[in-house]
Amino acid sequence: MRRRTLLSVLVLVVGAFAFLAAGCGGDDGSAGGTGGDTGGGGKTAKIVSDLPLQGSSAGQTETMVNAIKLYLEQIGSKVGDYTITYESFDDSTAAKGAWDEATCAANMRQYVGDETILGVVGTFNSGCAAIAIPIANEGTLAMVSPANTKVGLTHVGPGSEPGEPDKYYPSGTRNYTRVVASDDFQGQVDASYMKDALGVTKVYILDDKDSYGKGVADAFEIAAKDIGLTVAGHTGWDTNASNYKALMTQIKASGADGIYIGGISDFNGGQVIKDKVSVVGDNEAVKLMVSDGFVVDSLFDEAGADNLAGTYGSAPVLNPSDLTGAGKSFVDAYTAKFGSPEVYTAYAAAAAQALLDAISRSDGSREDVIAKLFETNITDGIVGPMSFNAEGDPKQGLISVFQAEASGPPWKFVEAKQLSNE
Amino acid sequence: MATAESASADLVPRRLPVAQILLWIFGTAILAVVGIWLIRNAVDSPDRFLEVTLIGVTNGSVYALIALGYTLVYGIIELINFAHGDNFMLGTFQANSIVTEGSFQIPLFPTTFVLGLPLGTMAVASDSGAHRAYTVAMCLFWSMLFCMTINVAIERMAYKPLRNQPRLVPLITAIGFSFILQDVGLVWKDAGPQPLPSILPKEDIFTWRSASYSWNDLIVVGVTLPLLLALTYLVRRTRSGKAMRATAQDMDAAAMMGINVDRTISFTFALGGALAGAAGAIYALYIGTSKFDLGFRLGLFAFTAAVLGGIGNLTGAVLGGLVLGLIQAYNEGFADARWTTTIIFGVLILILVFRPSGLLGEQVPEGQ
Repeated sequence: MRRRTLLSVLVLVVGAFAFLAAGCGGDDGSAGGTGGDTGGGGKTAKIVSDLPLQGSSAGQTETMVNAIKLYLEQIGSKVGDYTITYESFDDSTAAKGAWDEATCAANMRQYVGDETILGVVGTFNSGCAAIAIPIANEGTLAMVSPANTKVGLTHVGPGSEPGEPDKYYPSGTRNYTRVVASDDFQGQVDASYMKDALGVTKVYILDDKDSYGKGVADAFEIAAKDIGLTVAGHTGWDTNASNYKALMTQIKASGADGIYIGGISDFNGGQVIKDKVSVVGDNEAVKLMVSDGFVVDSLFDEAGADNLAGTYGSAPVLNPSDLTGAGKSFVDAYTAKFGSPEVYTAYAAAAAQALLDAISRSDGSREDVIAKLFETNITDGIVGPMSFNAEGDPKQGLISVFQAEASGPPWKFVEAKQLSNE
Repeated sequence: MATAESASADLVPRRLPVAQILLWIFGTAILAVVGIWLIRNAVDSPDRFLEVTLIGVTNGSVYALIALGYTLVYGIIELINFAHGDNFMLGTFQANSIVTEGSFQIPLFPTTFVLGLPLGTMAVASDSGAHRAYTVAMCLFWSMLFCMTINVAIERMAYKPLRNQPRLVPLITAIGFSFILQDVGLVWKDAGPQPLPSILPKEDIFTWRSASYSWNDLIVVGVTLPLLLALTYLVRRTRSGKAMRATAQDMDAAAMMGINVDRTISFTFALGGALAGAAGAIYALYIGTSKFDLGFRLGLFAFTAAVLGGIGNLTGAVLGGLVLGLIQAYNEGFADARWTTTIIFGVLILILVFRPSGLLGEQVPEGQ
């Protein structure tokens, strides 16, 4: 009897251990913000960026930090009467290798508490934004995200959840804008691309069960049903499983001639693609399309370039090499200084540009920065003209389609679909 | 006598164990539903059922290999060696080094320096069969040696000094070492997934309609079963095995009979480590990717498998691993992959409610 009690105690300990490891692990992996020096004649303001700098997004986010630094350098760290200081924060933990709930919240509380900070460039992941926006909202702090695409962060639409977006704005006033189009647009474009361009008739949908992945997959499912694309099934993969062969046999048996994946590649995405190819067949026989969380160069290593070859991916952004005007000259300057940029590099600079433009027109209070942010009207911005609607979405957006080649990265640009979102 | 009995029965009416009966009915009903569901799937598409079953057996074999290491150590000193899963992860990293960099590596934690012993084992899928076979053999050998050394060192440092302390104390040091080994992996290989080329032969052994079974699947099973047989032989038939069983039964009595208890326990940990290394090498070669936090999740699954089969019971660990692998595969293959973890642990709870000592029964030290 005693032995049995011991065993149950041990099982309990194991359970508690698992719970702890899943829930915590949030150490505040960022240096404390330095207090703002208000010496000198002109006014000073501080902006911060909040990005996951560890894990497989790291390659991308490091270039984003560099891009913000480069943009500040180009404008001499001055906008209007303001001298701008900038600090980069990390919302990921080494232990997770991806963004972390506790860190996202702790970071935002720190910015809200530091009165010299007038705005945040971030976040990178929508899941992190869902945690950070309400905290920023109560602290009346402006946020401009270079990469969030979750529908419900700003408006009701396919893929948004009950209570969204109002639950993110407890003060009742909006404080958040983004420079890229949201997942409902991506889902629509992807569904019609699979049907019209790839000739898919029956699609199986997979998501990583995360806020972003499930959102884009749901938006895709709604759009697919709308345009008459049969949905053979929709499920989420266990992001910690060692492989997905059994799941893939189910997809094969469903007779789907296309698979759509919504998610980020950090969540074992390489393994999903490997097992898709080994069980269901190559990407020519059964078409594979992935959302922008998978359109990263590290996936070529993680899935194997041979397995990834032929995969289509979409992103609400243009490749650096396809930018024109101010964007092209920014990318050239970036390449000369730091080497080759990633997909979101220029978008980080564009987010910083919008935020700084609002600060320059403001009276220096957080409320006014937010008010001016929503009045943004940049005609020759780094990623094109930029202005936001009342919900914080970009009025001009686009979705690009890319394809992976066996020869390796980068993802090759196929075409872009323009959107209007007044 | 008879009247006295019936009188007392009248006074205290015998209660039916209603709760227990309900539990049995409930359990049997669930088993029946699952059974019917499986049979229906098997009849509907026998080829797919076979394929999913084979996938389950293969994945289950990996769980079983790790579970053997947990159960072996638990059987001797009733310690859940939490560091075992992370030791396994370091085994996958060692195999990764041997294949991608062609050298046996010793990470000099906490620095990022790594000592390398060149073996000429760098391999890719297009290499000759002989070279790949050599690399696979080297992976197994060096990973086993590596993990064995780590396990013995951990036992010396963190468990041996605490042998007479309450059982929770070494449990905490085990959890501590689990985190330390994770950090060793993190510093050694970085945070992202660590891919390596697939060098196991991928040719099909047989195909039947849509089902196929290839050599790399067979190799996973083909390493687990011989290891189980060898271990069973070692524990049941050899002198060292006798010493292990004696130590398990009563450490003090074993010491009085002239058994070197310290050495026997070290030997057990060496065996456990070697199993972690073998599992690590097989996992890295078969799956083709590993990650520094892999050990936690797989370790938890393997520990579950060990409890499922009956902790301390070698055959039970393998059976538990296979059952776990099959449940996972059937759920992902025929039901909704979203709920795999819930299903696995739901089954665990059911089995433990009906058979608290696991499928094949516990084999643990007697007395306390």
